[in-house]
Amino acid sequence: MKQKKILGILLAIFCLPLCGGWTTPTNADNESYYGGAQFISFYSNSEQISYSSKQIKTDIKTANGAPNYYPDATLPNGCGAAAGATILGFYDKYMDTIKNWSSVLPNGMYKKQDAVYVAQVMKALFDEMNTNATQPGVTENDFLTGLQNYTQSLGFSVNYDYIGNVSTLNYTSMKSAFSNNRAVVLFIKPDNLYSITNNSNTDTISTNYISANHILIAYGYYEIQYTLSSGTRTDTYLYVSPCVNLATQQYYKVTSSLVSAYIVDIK
Amino acid sequence: MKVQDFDKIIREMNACDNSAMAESLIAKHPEVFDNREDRNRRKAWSVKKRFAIFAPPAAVVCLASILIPCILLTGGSDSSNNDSENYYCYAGEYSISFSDKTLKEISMATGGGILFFDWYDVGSDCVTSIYNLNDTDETICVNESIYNLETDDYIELNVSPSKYILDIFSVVLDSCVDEIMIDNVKVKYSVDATNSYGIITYNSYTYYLTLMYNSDAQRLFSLIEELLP
Repeated sequence: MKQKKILGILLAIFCLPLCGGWTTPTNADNESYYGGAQFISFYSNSEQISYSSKQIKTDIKTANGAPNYYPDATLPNGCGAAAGATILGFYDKYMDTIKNWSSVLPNGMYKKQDAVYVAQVMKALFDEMNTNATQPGVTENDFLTGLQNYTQSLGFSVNYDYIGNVSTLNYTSMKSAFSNNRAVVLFIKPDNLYSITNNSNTDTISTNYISANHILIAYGYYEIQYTLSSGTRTDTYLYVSPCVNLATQQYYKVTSSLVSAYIVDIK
Repeated sequence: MKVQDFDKIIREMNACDNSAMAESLIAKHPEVFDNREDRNRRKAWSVKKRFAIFAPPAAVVCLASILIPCILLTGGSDSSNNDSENYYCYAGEYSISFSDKTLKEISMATGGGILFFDWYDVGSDCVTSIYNLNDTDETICVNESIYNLETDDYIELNVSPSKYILDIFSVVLDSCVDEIMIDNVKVKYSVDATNSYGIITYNSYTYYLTLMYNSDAQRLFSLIEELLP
């Protein structure tokens, strides 16, 4: 009996690696790619909410929000580079993370991307992140490592604080980060982004669908409660820089699409 | 899968092609797109209406059998002409590039018909981009952002020939439901938590103005007044 047990254990030890149970996953084989070949954003629909009153329950965001940069045609599948540049543009308000250029206007608000300096940063990040090297886009690891390497080359250090995925997201840490002017990078699967515009006692919530894995920069938390004729309705969003060219302020609802989130701190 | 294939699938998912998408947006916002095709359509409708009022129903049926093909041949010739068709442009169909020319210079080069904010002497951070169709290289939109150092206004102005409706403007088109007249031009507008948005059509161009970091519609109206000649 004892011999059979030992034989069973030895057999299991011998067979497990063959079955893949002990193989170490590598980024190139198993990680998802963001900003891939099927990436496109498009408008899908809008919803009108007519309310008798509305109350903003929570509105926490970084000072002056965050910039939104997006890749041009010379950087295909470049959402990682755009998100990385957006992070650097965000911190450029506090330190010189984009050389020879200021990301903010004299009033402290963020500028739109320029044709020279942000473009240079984005191209450098595009290369540093090995974009399209193996498959179209970048992996989570490519993004984090590439941004870290590039930022270190500028003389700064980067710290990533993982705050979870859709089921484990640490909202307390995230809100605290926004209050302390820290940006959060979100890795998401295809999902909707929203814009909310106001007209007299009606909010229009418009939806843009992002068709591939994507990287967003979150900089705020927004909770709004509507009083409707049928009762109340509460919506919760994150303020995001969509890292694509969209004409309005964009929001993201934390749904099953959230793969991972990190607070990014540059010093 | 090619991007074009994917784009085709997306369109099928939405159950509409470019023209249908454009038509659906125009149907929602007819006053924004005052172009030749719309005028022809209104003309065709008024002809039908006159028959309905002045001719007996039987005569209408008879006449219609003669007139409808005629209307289709004359009015229909416009809709078969690509130059006058409204076209909805999806993100995969155009490319964006920076321009070293300002909107003012572009306007002057095209006969001065395009409106712009002449803030170049008092402004900073002027960035101009051009959107071109990938297939034909036709320019479908010019985008300019500029910050006015004197007034602290930061604006983004997109100018498109009215027959082109870019996907990125769909949200603004859908959300700008309030209206006001400024200098006899209809302005559709809305605000969100951060910005103000206004849309006008003037001389066959549609202008999408964003007043950034300012949700005050009154300030938006002042700027539109400044923009108009």
